[in-house]
This record gives sequence, structure tokens and C-alpha cells, in this order.
Amino acid sequence: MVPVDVKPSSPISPHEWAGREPSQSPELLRGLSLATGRRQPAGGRFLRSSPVTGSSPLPGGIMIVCVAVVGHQNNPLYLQSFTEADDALKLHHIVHCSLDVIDERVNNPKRSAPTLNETFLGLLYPTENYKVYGYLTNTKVKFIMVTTDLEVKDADARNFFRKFHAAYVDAVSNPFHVPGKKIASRSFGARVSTIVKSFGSGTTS
Amino acid sequence: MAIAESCVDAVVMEMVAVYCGGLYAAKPELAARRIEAIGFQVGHQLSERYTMERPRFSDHLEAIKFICKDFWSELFKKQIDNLKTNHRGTFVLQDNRFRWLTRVSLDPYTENTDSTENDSAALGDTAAQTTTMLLYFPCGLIRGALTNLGISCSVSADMSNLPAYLICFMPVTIIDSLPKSASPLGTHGGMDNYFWVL
Amino acid sequence: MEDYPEELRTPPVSLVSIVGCPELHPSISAALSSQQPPMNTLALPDFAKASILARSGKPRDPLAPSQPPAGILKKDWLLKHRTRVPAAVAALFRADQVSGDPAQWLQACSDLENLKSAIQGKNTKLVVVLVQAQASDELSEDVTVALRKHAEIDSKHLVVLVEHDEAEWNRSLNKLKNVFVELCAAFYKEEGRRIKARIEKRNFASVELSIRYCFKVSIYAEFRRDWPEALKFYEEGVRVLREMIGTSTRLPPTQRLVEIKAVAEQFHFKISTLLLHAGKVVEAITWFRKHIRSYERVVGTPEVAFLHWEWFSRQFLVFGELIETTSTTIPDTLSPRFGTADNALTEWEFQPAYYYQLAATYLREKRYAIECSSSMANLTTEVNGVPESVMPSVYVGQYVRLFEQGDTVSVLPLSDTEYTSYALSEAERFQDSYEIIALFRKAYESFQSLGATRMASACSGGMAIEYYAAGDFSNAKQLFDSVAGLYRQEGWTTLLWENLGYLRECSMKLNSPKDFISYSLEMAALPLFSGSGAENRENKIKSGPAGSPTISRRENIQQEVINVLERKQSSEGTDDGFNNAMEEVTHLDIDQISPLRMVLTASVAFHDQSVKPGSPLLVSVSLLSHLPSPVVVDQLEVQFNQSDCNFVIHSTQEDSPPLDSNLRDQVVQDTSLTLFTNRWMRLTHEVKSGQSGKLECLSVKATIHKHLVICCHAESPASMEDFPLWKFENQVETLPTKDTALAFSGQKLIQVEEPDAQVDLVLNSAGPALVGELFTVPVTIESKGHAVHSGELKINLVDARGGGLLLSPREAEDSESHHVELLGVSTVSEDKESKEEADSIRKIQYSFGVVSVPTLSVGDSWSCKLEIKWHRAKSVMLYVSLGYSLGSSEEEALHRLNIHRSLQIEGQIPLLVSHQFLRPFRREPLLLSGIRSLGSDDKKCSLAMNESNMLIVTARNCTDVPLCLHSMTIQPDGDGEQLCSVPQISGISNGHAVVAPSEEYKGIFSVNPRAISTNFNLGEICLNWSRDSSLGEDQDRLIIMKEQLPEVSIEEPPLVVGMECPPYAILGIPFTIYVKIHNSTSLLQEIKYSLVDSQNFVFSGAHNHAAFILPKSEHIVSHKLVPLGSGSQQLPKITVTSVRYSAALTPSASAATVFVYPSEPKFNLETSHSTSDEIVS
Repeated sequence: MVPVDVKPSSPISPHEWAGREPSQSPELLRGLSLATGRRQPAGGRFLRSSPVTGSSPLPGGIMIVCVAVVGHQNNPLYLQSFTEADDALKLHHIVHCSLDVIDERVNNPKRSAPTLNETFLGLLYPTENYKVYGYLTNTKVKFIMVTTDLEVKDADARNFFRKFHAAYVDAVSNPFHVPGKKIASRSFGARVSTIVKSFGSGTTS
Repeated sequence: MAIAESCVDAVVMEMVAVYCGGLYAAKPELAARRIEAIGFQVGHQLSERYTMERPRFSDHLEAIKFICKDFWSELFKKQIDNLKTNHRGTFVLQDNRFRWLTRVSLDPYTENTDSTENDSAALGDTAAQTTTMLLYFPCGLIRGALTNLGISCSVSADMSNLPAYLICFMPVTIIDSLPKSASPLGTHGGMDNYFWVL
Repeated sequence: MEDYPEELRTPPVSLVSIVGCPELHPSISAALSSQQPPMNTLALPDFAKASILARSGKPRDPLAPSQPPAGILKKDWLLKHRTRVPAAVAALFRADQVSGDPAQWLQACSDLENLKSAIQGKNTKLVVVLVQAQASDELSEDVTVALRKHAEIDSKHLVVLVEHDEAEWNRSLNKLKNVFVELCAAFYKEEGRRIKARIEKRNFASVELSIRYCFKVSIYAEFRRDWPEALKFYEEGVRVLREMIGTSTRLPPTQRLVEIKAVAEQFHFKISTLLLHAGKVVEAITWFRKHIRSYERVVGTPEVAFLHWEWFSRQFLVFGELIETTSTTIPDTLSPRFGTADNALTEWEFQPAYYYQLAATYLREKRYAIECSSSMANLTTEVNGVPESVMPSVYVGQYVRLFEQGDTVSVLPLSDTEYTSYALSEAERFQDSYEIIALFRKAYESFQSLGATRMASACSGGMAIEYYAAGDFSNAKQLFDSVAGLYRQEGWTTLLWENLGYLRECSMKLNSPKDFISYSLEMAALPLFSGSGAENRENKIKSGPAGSPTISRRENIQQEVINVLERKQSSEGTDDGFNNAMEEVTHLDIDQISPLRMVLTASVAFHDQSVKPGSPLLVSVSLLSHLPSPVVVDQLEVQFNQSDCNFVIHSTQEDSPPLDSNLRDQVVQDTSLTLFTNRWMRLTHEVKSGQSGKLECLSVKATIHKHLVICCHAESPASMEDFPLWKFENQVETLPTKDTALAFSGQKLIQVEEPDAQVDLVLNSAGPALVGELFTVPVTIESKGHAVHSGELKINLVDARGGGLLLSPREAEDSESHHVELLGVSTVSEDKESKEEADSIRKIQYSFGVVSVPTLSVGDSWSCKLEIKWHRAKSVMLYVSLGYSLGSSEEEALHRLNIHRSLQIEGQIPLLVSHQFLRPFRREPLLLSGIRSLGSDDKKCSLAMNESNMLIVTARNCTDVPLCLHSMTIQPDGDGEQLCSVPQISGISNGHAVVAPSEEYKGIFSVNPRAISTNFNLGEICLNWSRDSSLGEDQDRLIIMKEQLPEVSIEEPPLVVGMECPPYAILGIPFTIYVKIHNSTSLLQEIKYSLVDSQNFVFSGAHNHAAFILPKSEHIVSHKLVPLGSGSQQLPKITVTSVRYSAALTPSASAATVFVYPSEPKFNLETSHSTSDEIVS
């Protein structure tokens, strides 16, 4: 009997599973492979047997599934999802709902310590398979990041948002961009996707 | 760096010259609005950039201070010299040596001649007009920046004598009386304020 | 939570058992259960029943190899320990049973033996209770000792209950309680220790056992309320359990997962209950996170995925319910910076709503999973049907099937396939939708109360989808509509797209084509969200029935609308949803706030602000549509508030333009009316402005595909706000009209002026008006080109310097005193017209008048005179306006023409009257008031009584026309008559005196007062004047003008100095002057007088002199003078001083001159004398 020490606090990625299995009965293997077969983060009911999306740096690791920019009137200015396209709608819902948390956090009277004015708002709420992080710029523009449901370091999140903010500023400083309109710039999209790919690799290593 | 500065000065001068002289020579107020609008967009975008990496402002005073200190020194490498307020939303910014006016000078001949005073007076107020035209752009800058920070307001300019003074008022009392034309790009800010650069 | 077994939900209560003496059981058990912590009692009436306490089942012999357990937890274990395994047993004996009769004693001993044998082999403690009637009756010591020996218990476990004495009974019962408490504690501790020992030295065959042991230890800990230990072992159990997933091989994988999850559920429930009841909210939530995270991925084979999702959603539901029931609040110690390093939790995790929502979501997953599995299973089930007689086994989360051969019933394990089909068939029996809806509703309500509107609307969206799935379309539609509002407002087009997709289907199902069309059009006009990905087939499921938001899809939808419209025509309308529901024409109404504004917007601008009636004016109609593919408009109908201006534009492609109802419209052909997406279609048309007033464009009706009529409310370009959803799009904004000025300032309404009247209204006035006179202003109306019907003349007087009303503010209250008054209107005309005027309206007020004008045919004229009277000098604006209509028919009468004239008239004061008092000639009355009032400054002039004082009245003509003065009199008021006579000395001769401009007329009066009064009213000057008629004006009316004289004071002078002097002198010839000083008082008056030399005269007599004057007598001083120079000479100056009044009197300069002729003049002295006498008298 192999002594296994798996803390429930740190869930096991499928590969860990595969690696851990000693010689077991075949049907156990089958059951497990099936059991682990749908352990993608984006594992809604629609991922019957779809592989892990290629856009994640290390499969099963933390990855950003969606980033969004939300304008003054809580209208989406930019929203890009990095999973299969069919998840886009769910992500829209998640991002939209997270605005409630931002409102709650920002204009809640009882929190008035100056430190609370910092732009990084932290984890907004964990939902089905995701974690939603928020960021509110000085100009009342909201950035929202949705990651897979794994432990995310605060530092990573802050770091991501910092880069993202820089990208955003460059995008809106384009003289041809009209303030308050959606961001359609292709270069911005490209830059964002590189930032997303590099997520977590910066400080976790 | 100095080159860049002088370039900016030249650009501002040239822009004003083009708008006042070429495009809208007939109707100066239209030219003023265009220049102010350009300033608005520039201020809008600059404030976006300069407020990165800093906690959100909790009230208007902080935002104004930001304008006076960081924003101004990013633009002119000097801070606003004097900030007054009546605590009812009226703020008075004052720059004792406003960079973009230091290059402005009247023709000395028309300055110290007293041949026919109405003639010299005419020349004098054309000079005043050009300088006020020069001031519409910074007005737009301030208004754009503050608007982007959620304080929708209106800025207008006046200069007593060179070097120019910049004075801003924000009376909260005239919330709706602000004409829509004062904010060509539209503002989402909650309360309207009124600015005035002197 | 409710479907958990009761023993699991409530904290365990320790159990004791009592045997014998059944009559006492109720009171004892009541007492035990009432104490804190309570104890349950297992009461056995007699010792025969004691056998049930014995261990059920056969005792396992230690030598047999321990076969691995068939499951983790036995279902009934906890129940057994709470109901059938007492911690202590009490044997009750009556004292008389054990004392005395040996047979009974033996019986008692045997009972005791049975009991001992029953509980033998366990740690169940034994207590012996002796019941005796009274505390008094004494038990023999040896009996108790013998009993104790038999029972093998020490003395304190033998309790004596006293039955019939209240106090004693309670006391002894308390003793028994304490014994029980102590024994229970001991029992559960020992049990716990026993099991714990096994765990510690790991002597168990399998993981299952270790988990089971952990469970038991925790339960025992709970029995003795040792929460921390319970928690510790529960968590240990969970840990081991989690490992089992990877390692255990006992069961086929599916059932194994099911069992493990079932057990985990129990563990987790216990843990979170303990934590929450201990108030450790944060720990509980963190634990829940762990629990979820460690199981969320362990779904198992797709066939049984639904089991996982059901279980998973139950976890959330139960935890939510726990949080709700324990009514947790966010602890203050927690850092407010949620979601960051110093506080990992987030706000919602403290809200039950959050868990309900997720529970609902996962339950929905379960439903989908079932659908997939059953669709999969349908292929397999007919091969091997659902296995019958499957039942839950003795182990938690396991199922077996009963298998009976003859009378022997055996349980067989299930294969995974059997189990799967069984579970599936079970699951399919349930209808999840309504549970999901209920969950969403709970979440929705509490999110709403938290003010989290977006969360709430997401929940109601979930509800709606469930209703839709359940086929309740009206409910679904209602909910979707409510949600769509928020998405529209905040511009979340993708979400809106999904909603509208459902709404479309709903209205299709509800068979309302109008809604279908409007929803479809809105969808088709939605701006795409750039981030939404490419289309693939899963999308269909994903974003609802609408499919994914792409341009092609939008175009399809627009096409579908067209199909619906067309298909109805090509009468095979069976396959679309609306077989008979469609009317002939579908009307859509689009106003400023309608979401369909994106579909079609009409902006109408007139090219100028105002226009004369009947003249042509240009109006440009611009249409904008955001529909993806071009829209062909058959006909465009523009409607105004004046219906004669309406016009219709047909496109020429329209082969047969349907005849329009409104025949008065102009019908215009236009080459093609095609709207391209986001491009303004600009049409400029010329209309004839109707009658005067406001002309406003109301709406633009576009007929599309013959059967869709979209009616857009017209918008002015000036006040057109940008499009709700498209304003965020990054696109160039086009202007509705080509010329930018019009685009920014154009208005959809225009003012049509009145036609300019062809009637003259003439006011001519003669110069300034004079105050008091009746000033007439002739008004002439002559019609040139227009006949005047029911004409009406309005006259209005307004103060020229503003201030409107013509009365001074302080006398505003009494409306009598107007400064300027309109007295009347006199018509100069032959009696026919005046007759008809008599019955016509004629209102005259002080400053306002209305006069009706008789009907005038073209060319003739009518005139009247306004009579205005000025009371004050004021300049006045006279406004006269004529309102008339061209005809007498009511339709013409409705719409009147107006002419306005105004004239400023100055009001002037004609005569300025002033007056002046003079002393009597050469008489100087001493007026004391004059002396006293030196200090005071009241200038009331005082007159001497019985003297003839002079009054000179001056009337000055301050107009610039000559006036003639007819009379000037002084009218004494009231009793002034007999007190004072004012005869006129010189007045107006020959009728009237003409006073030229700025000339004066003087009238002289002598005032002879006869009585003393301090303030005497002389009355008023009364002038009678008129304009000078010699200038030919027929204004010979006399105007009386009165001026009040000031009050005077009349007093009697104590001294009067008179002076007599000849009227003239001759050079060198002496003459005499007399100074008469009359003392009218009854006192002796001393006076001094002095005479000053003058070079023109020599005189005899003393320069200074003093005298005493007797009362009522007169003193005369005379001097002879010889004039030395000729001409008018000043006499020597005489000054008389009254000592008593210390007042000096000197004749006035005029009185003290005399004319000196160089020689004797030649003229008859009589006349001169007479005049001089006259003057003196």
C-alpha cells in the first residue's frame, strides 16, 4: 500500500494523478482516466472530451481564461476569452456579475482606510471553476481577469494588472481612439495575449 | 530634452496660429473651442498615463493636488505655484511663469509708442487675444484630465499680465447651467464644476 | 439538509438504560432528559427484556482472519449508539423485594445476573438502584453489601431512591443523575480511547476501517461534547478518505466514487456544522473551499456524471442552508481587504445566496448530464434492462440488489453498468427544473436585497432558462424581459443577444409574431462584441437558441423576419410558428427610448426657423438603420401635426403603390428607398406650410415588405442623443444631414407666421397732452385688401418708463386714482353704425379698453376717438391692436389676424402756479411769530389781522402751445368766507387772457383776515383755462385747475408802524412824513426809534428818540424833509424798536422811497391822488 500524502488543499493535476498511480486494476485506471479526463478548468458541461486548450503555458496550471476592460457606465470596452470560444458567454456573465463586487468594494462606506484606495482590488469572487480578480484605475476604468480555479499569488495578479494597465494606457493614448469607446486596436489584443501567456511565469519561478 | 520642449512650444504656438489664422480666422470662438477640444483629449490621455501606479483619489482636492504637482511637473517640469480654494468647489491654480507664454512678446515698437493711442490699443488687444488663444489649450488639458478623473468641470482662461496666472474656479452652485458645448467630448462625471483660468 | 437522517443532524445525546420498576420510568426518564446536557433513557419494564442489550449478531471469534470490510460506514451504527447501546444500565429493585423474602431475593439475584451477562463484554456500566417508600424505613446494611457484591459495583454506584417523599425523591434522583453523568463520561471516553488506540497503532486491515474508526472516535467525542477532538478526527477521516480515491480497489470505480462521496458528505456536514455552531465562520468557509476543491474534479465516468453534479450541488445547497440557519455575519476581526493576501475570503462567500446560486448552476449541470447519459443509455438499456429490486445496502452510499432463491434471500453486489442504469432510471424519475428555479429564486431574492443587481439578474436569467426548458414560456418571457433591460442599459450586447434569442423563441412559442419580429429586428441590429469568438456547433447550445453573435447570424435573423413577413403572404404559413396569429400588417412603434431605435431612426429637420403661411419650405428627412443587410422601404409616410402637410414617398420599385387612405397627402415617386447599414438615407422634400402656428413633424412611417410598418417618432437633429448600444462602437459617426449646421441645430418643428394683415391702423395725436384736459387720440382703420369681420380694437395704456400699471405704488390700492385714465371711446359716425355699436362689446377700464369694430368691406374705413385724461404729468405708451378675421364663417373666424400700433404720448402740466404774500403798503405790523420762529424753520407765513395783506398769484405757461386763461379766483373753503375776505384787486379783463408759452400771468389779491388763527386755510386758487381757440382747434372746453394755497397763521400785531408820506416831492421844497406807531395792546409800550442821515435829504428833528405809548393809543412822529436830489430817492432810514419785544421794525425799501420831481409837474392831481389813496386804503 503506497502511503500517499495528498492535502486536499492542493488539488492534483491530471498528470500528477497519472504519475502517482501504481500498478492498479485496469478498470480502476479506466475509471480514473475518465474521472480525470474532464478536469480541465473550463470543464463546464460542454467539454465532454475536449483537450486542454493550447493557450495555457502549463496544462492544468494556472491560466487566464478571460480579461476584460469595463468602462464608466459599466459597459464592456474590451473582453477577450482565452478558452474555447463556446465559453465566451459564460465568461461574459461572470465578468458582468463581478461588477457587483467591485461596486460593493469601492463604494462601501465602512471601508475608508487609505490603503483601500489602491487600484488592485484582489479576488472578487470564486465561481464555478474560476477565480475573478479586479482592478480599478484612477480614471474609474475597471479591469477584470478570470483565471482557473487554482491558487493565484497576489503578486502575480498585481503584476499582470500592472502590465495590462500599461498596455491599456498605450491603447487609449492613440490619438485616433475616442475616449469611452470600445478598444478595437489589434496591437492591443496581441500585446494582451502575450501578457496573458506570460502570466504567472514571472514571479512563480 | 530641451529640444523636445521647444518642439512642444513650437507645436502649441503653431496649432494656435493655424486655428486662429487659417481655419477659423472669421470666428475666433469656434477656433477656441477646437483648440480646447484638442487640449481636452490630450489631457484625458495624459491623465490616464500619469495616474498609473498610484492609489485612487478619494476626493476632489487630491485630484487637484495631483494636477498641481505631478501632472504639471510632468508637463512643465515645475509645479503650480499657488493653489487657493474657497472649499465650495472653487479652486484657483496659479502659475507665475507659465511656460507657453514666456515665448510670447508684443512688438516693442507698438509697445512704447504713443503716436495714436487707439492704434496701439488695437495692437495691444490683438496681442491679448493671441495670448488668450494660447491659453485655451492648457484649459483643455486641465479639463480633460479632471474629467477623466471623474470631475467634470469647465475651464476658461484669462491672464492679467505676462507672465500669465492660471486660476481655476469650481463653484458647485451652477451644476446645470454649464452649456453642453463646454464639454465637447461629453463627461460622465457626477457633478458639474466650473473652472476659470486667470 | 432535511433529507439527512435525524441522528446525523442533531448532536448525539448520551444514552442510559433503566430496568425494572416500570412505574417509575416516566418520571426518571423525564428528569434525565430535562437536565443539561440531556440524557436519553432506554427504559426496559422488566429484566426479561435485558437481552436486547446484548450484542446483536454472533460474537466474532478472534482466531478467524478478519476479512476486509464491505464498506466504510455502517448506516445504522450512529443510530444504534444513540438508541440501543446505553452507556450505563440501572437495575431498579424495590427495597421490600431484596429485604425479607428469600425467594424474592433469589429472583433479584438472578435478574442481576442476566443483566450482567447481557452487558458483559462491553464497557457498559452497571448501577443498582434501591427504591424504598420512605426515607425512614431502614435497609439493613448487609442487604446493600450483598447486592453490591452480586453486582460487582462499588458503593457509590448503588443509589437509594426514596419514592414517597418529595424532597427525598429529588435529592436521591439528583444523586442518580450525577452517577449517570459520570458513568456516561467514563463510558464514552473508554470507547473513544479503545478505538483511538487502534488508529494510533495502525492495526487495521484496510483504509476503510481507519476512516470508520475516525468517525467513531469523533462521534464518541461528540457524545461527551469534546468538539475539538471530534473535529480533529473528522478532518483526519476526510484526509484518509480523499486518499482512498486513488488507492482503494474494493468496489468498481463508479460505485466506489459514489460511496466515497457519500461518506465525505457526512464528514463534511459534521465538520461544517461543528465549525459554524462554534462561530468559526471563516474556518468553516475555508474548509468548504477545501472540500469543494478536492472533489470538484472527481466526476467519474461521463455516464454517471449526473451523480457527481447532483452530489456537488447538494454540497453547496447544504452549506448555504447551514450558513443561513446559523445566520453568520462577517466577523469584525477580519481584514476588510477581501480577496487579497491578508484576507483570502470574499464578500459573497458569507452570503447564502452565493451558494444557492452555485447549487442551482450545478443542478443544471446535472440535468444536462442526465440528458446526455440517457441519450447515451437508450442504446444500451434495451440490451440489459434496469435491474429490479435494487436497494441501499447497510453501508453508507452503497447499493445492492436482493436476490431470492426459494425462501433464502441473499444480497448481491451490482456491476457498474447495472448500477449506472439503475441510478439513471432513478434520476430520470425526478423533475429538476422546479428545484433549480426555486434555488435561483432564493438566490435572486437575497442578491436583490444585497443590492447586487447584476448577480440577481443573472439568477433570474437562470430561472428564465429553466422555465424555457420546462416549457413555461410566458414566465420565461417575462423574466427574460426584465433581465434584458439591465443588459441593454449597460451595453452587454453578448448577454443581450442570448436573452433576445430566448425571447424570440418564447414569442414564437407563444405565437405572437409582433414580438418575434421586434426581438429579431433588435437582435439583427445589435452591435457585435469584438471579443466574441468564432461560430462552432457547440455555440448553438451555449449561447441559447440564438446561436453565436456573428454578422452572418445577424443577417440570417433579418432574413428570417423577412421570411415570416413574406410567408404569410404565400399562404403556406404552416411551418412558421404563427399559423393564424399574424394580422394583415404588423405595426411597430419606435420612440426615443425604444430599444428598436437602432433598427430605424428618423431625423427630420426644417431648413429654416420660421416661414410665412402657404409658402413652400424645405424639410429633410433622414433615416438610419443598423440592420446588417440593406432594407428596402416600399413607402415612406411623413406625418405632421398639420395633416395637410403630410406626404408619402413611394419607391419606384414598388410596382403598384397601394392607394393611401389620406387623399390629401402629396404622393412622390422616388427612385429607390434603400437603407444601408449605418448610412443615413437623406431625403429632402418641399412642403407647403399650412396655417399659422406650430408646424411639427410627428412621425415617419416606413412600410417594409408591404406588411411591416415601422412608425418612428421624428427627432430633431439638434436634440438627438446617440444610440444606446452603438455609441460604444468604434466607428465614424455620420451626420443626419449633409450640411453640418443643420445637423447640429436642425429642428423638427417650425413656426409658421401669420399672414401680414392688409388693413391700416392709424393713430395720430396732437402733440403732448396737458394734465387735466380730455385728450383725444383719433384712431382710423382703413381696410385695403382685407375685409374686417368681427373686428375688435384693444386699447392699452402702459407707463412709458416701464412699471406697467399707471398708478403710483402707494395709492395702488384705491384704483380710483390713476395717473392716466382711458375715459372712453367716441365713434364719429352716422347713427347706423353707432346703433350697431351699441349692442357690441365695449369694455373700458382705467388703462384698458376693448371696442368692437363694425364689419368693414374692402376699401372702406372706420375711425374713433380715444379720450384719455392725464392726472399727473407722465409719458405713456398707447398700444392699440386690431384683431379681425377674414370671414364670418366659424372656420375662418378661428384664425384671426392682428395689427399692432403703439404711440408714446407725453403728459404735461399746462400752468405752473406760484404765489407770494406781501405786507400792506407802508404799514409794518409787528408779527411776533416772526420773531419767535427765528429758531424754528417752519416757513408758514403769518398775516396780520385787520390789515390788507397782498397776495400775488402767478400762473406760468410751461407748455409750448398758447393757453388762454379764463378766470383766476380764490375759493375760500368752508368757513373761510366770513373769517377773511379775499377781494381781487386786479384780474382778467375782457373775458380771457392769452398766455403765450413760457409767459406768466399775475393776479393780485388783498387778504383781510378778521380772526386770529394759527393755521388758517385760505382755500385754493382756481384757474379756468383752455387751449387757445384762436388756433382753430375746437377744443374750447374749459378746464378747471385747482391749486391749494398753503395754510397761513393770522395774528394780531401788538404794534403797527405806519408811515405817511406824500406821493411825490419837489426838489428843494420841504415836505413832512409822519410815522404813526399804534399800540393795539392794553399795555404801556416803550419804543425807541432812530433816523439815519441820507445825503439826498436834510431834515429837522432828533436822530434818536424814545417814547411810551399808552394802551390802545397812537404815537405820531413827524419830520420835515427837504429833498436835495431829484429822481426816485430813498428816504432816511427809520427804525422803530419795541423794547418789550426787543424787535426792530423798519419800513421796506419799496415803502421808503419817494419820487422827487425837479420842478412842479403838470398833471391833474386828482387821478394821481385817487390811485395813491386807493393803494393806501
